[in-house]
Amino acid sequence: MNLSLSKTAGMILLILIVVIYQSLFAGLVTIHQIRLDLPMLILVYIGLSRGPASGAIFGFLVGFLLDLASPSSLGLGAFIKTCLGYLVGSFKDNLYLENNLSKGAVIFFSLILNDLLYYFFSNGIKNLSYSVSVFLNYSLLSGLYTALVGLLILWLAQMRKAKEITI
Amino acid sequence: MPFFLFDIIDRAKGSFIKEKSSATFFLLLSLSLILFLFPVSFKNSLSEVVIRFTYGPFNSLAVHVGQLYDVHRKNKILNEKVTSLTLENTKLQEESRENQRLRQLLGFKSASSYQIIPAEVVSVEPERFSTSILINLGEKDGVKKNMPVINLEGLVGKVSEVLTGSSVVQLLYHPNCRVPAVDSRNRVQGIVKSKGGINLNLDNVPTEEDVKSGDEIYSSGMGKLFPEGLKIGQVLRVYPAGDSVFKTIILKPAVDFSRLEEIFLIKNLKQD
Repeated sequence: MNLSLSKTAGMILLILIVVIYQSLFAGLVTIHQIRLDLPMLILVYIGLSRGPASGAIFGFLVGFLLDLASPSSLGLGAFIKTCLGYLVGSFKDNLYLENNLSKGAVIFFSLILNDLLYYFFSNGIKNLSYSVSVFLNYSLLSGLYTALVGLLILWLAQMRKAKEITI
Repeated sequence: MPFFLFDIIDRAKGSFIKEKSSATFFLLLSLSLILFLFPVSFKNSLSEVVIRFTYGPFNSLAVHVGQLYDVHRKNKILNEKVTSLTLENTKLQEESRENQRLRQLLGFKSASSYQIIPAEVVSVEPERFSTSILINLGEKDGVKKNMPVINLEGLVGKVSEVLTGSSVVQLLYHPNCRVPAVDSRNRVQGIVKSKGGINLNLDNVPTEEDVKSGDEIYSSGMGKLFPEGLKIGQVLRVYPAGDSVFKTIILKPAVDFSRLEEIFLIKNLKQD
């Protein structure tokens, strides 16, 4: 009971972090329109550490919150991120993820898949050249940027853990 | 207890967890689909209510902290601007009087003046490349569809959706946004649109027209959606036409779309 309570509290805290980040800091860490996708980074973390159900729940909630900025497509982001959360979560026990590079790859490909699905469902084949251009110019670089930041956070966490063990 | 019983319990537990995960997944997928299929009016109202309780407090905080942080720097810049604009205004008033006299002589209608409404950005579209923003004014504040949106740097876009207390602004980066434009140096006309990059394109300019890098591009007022004279950007590069009858002209937008905070809506134009 306590464990599930602490898990729920942890998820609410992470949701709050996403809201605060989107409201206050997202613009500050954007470089030439290349965005750090912290919500996706947390989604991958939740999926890989807690499994498919938690991944799907977090994906739905985060997708819904992000969809609020463009009400006409409300539900689309929630749908895509629910699928991604579940998919990443199902890797929890089926993929060798001790290696940091494989974690970085999961972050990168999750972002790419998120964007591909978003462009496909929101634009279809209409404005295809526009979608391709945005994908090549921004999605790939955003994926790389977010994956690198994710790897940096992982590396710092591991360094801290190693230090605690030594002490 | 025999070992095989442990094994059976473990398997049952595993399949229960798996089934629970799948059920959660399908339930959430159905919920997302239902949300997506709701009528736009309902989605608008729902978004407005949820935004008020989630992003609302943090946005107000961001605006206030940002204003406090920026107040000294902005004050200095604004003082300089006020001085130079006062001088310019005196000169323009003189020219306007002369223009009115000449218009009366020629029998032209006087150009209408526009009213501006200040607004603040509430949130940015979640797509990787933002093409829309949400602002804090809506129907109850007199906002109408297609109202042009500007900031101190130039033309930002137009209002594409109006909700009760907020609105969606389609930026110049939006694939459906097209602005009739004119080169301020030689009055060459074209259409500004985005092709999915950080820069904009000035299309429909015939090969024989003289457009150079550094030329400033303004809205031409054609189509009556955007008023004349709003700065859109500066010509960055001009590519030879090749087989086409039109030049490929790349513009650097006047507005920094990644740092949009305070914007203004223009009233009194052709709006729905």
